[in-house]
Amino acid sequence: MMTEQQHSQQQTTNNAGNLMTGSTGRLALTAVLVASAAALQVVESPLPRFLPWLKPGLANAMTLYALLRLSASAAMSVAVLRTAIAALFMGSLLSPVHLMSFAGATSAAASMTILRRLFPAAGLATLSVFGALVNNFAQLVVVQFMFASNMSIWLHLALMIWVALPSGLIVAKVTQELLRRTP
Amino acid sequence: MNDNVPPLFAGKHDWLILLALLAVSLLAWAGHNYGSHSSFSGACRVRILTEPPQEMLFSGPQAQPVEIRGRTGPAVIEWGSDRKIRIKSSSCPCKTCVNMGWTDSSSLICVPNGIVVEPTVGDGQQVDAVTR
Repeated sequence: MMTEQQHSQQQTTNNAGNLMTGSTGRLALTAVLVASAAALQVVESPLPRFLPWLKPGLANAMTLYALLRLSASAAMSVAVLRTAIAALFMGSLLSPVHLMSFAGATSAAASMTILRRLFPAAGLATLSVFGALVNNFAQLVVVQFMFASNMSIWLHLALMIWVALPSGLIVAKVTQELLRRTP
Repeated sequence: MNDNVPPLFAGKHDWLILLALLAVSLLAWAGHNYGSHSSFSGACRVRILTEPPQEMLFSGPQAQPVEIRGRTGPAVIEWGSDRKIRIKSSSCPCKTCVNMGWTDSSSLICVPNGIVVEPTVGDGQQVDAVTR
């Protein structure tokens, strides 16, 4: 026999489930993820870093969540829109900084999608670390084409890989908690 | 609570991919060490990507730090006692260029400020020959 409170909780869960399956619900969830990711990117930007490129990249958790809970196109939408909105807030829209951010975020979304297709059983940590690494790699490609006149910029790749590992693991754990705590 | 959540590490594929990443990082680290110039003279080329773009060539270490002006404001380039170069300060928001520290091989690039510091070999030219 269900108490009234349990019945109410069950109904709320069912409503949330229905909301998630409808196209309006999916659109609303995508919008929430875009807004959250843009806010995280703006908040993270001025934080001090002990090593270059060392930041958690929590905005990528929203992309990974969208990929797992919604679809690849939703993940790509989150990546494209959050970089544009964050750049708008930080006054860097269409600047090289925005282009780097855009290239990194979309490459990470695409690479995580491809990895998930190739290895459906891949764990969250692998997806996330791979995404973080491709993000850094894509940013180096942009810097190479826009600024560098020789290939010495690629010597930074070793450090970038080591930085991608902890940040990828943090993003994976955050995504796992988000998935666990949402219907 | 939703219990149908993918695990952080799922199986052997995960470890294979992560091991591959570690292998790439070791290769990159070896490349970094290979690219390091033990006989670096302190020569460098500084490009400032403003309108119009500017370029400065330094044939060796400067006794005093050099202040330049980029897109977002001033930046200071400094040479160490071992002739390595760093961007000591920059008016960019993220300070990634400053955090990159000293270098004698890889370029230091400040994207927001549009400053590129490229260590060069010899007289400021990093080419062996010019052909027509």
